[in-house]
Amino acid sequence: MRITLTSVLVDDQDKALRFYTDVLGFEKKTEVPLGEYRWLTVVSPGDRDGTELVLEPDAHPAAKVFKEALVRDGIPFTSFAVEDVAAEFARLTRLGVQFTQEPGEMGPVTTAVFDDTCGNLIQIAQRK
Amino acid sequence: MFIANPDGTQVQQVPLVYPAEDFGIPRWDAAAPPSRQASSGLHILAVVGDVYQALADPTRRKILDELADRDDQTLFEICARLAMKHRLTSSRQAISQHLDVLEAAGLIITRREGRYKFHHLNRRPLEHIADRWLTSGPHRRPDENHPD
Repeated sequence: MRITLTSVLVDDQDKALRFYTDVLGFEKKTEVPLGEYRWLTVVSPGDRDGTELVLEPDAHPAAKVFKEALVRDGIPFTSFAVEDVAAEFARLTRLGVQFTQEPGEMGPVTTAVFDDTCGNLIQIAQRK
Repeated sequence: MFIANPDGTQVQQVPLVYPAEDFGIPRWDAAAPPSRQASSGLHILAVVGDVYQALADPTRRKILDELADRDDQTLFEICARLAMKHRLTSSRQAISQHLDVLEAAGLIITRREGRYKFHHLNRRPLEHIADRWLTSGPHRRPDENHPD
């Protein structure tokens, strides 16, 4: 058994695709129309065969309630690894990304948390 | 601190603490009609905890330490700092309750910014403690009645 997919619940797939590719730097891998929505995934740059991130519609009524409750408490449900949290913080801030937690040392990791504009907080983390 | 009479028209002063503004706490309900405002010009606080009680717990002191290190944190960041830096493995609910106690004592002020909620360290109650014992200047009123 292997983990090949993980998901983020997004409020708008087009907006999410722009943010996750243009701003974060992921690459689109799969786009399959499925009625109102699409099967839409992105992968890490230079790792086409790596784990795919599904940009999953948050159309279910419970999803929005869940997301809002997490955001209110500042909880990132998804975390990505970066080489340098401070450098990413500087780069993303220049691009207008809003952080709810600036880079900080949390024991063995340095983390920061930002808003993905699709209703989620995302953590970026770097091992020391 | 101040409690409203059942008819909401007056306030009674229970053992003296400080007016809300002294804590840097915003007016309790600025939009309320005048009849609901304290006639003394002081403002009603719904719940006021004891600063000393709030400071008596080591986890709550750590929370204040972390907010002194960096102000305006989300609940998530506070929990992460306690867990990762201090090995405090209290549940998020427990930390949230600690934050409620600190907020009731005026040591923390929460602020909604869009969909986020941040916790701000308010030092004013601590300044009152310093003022009470560490200063003896003329500004200190001899008749000042301190809380227990």
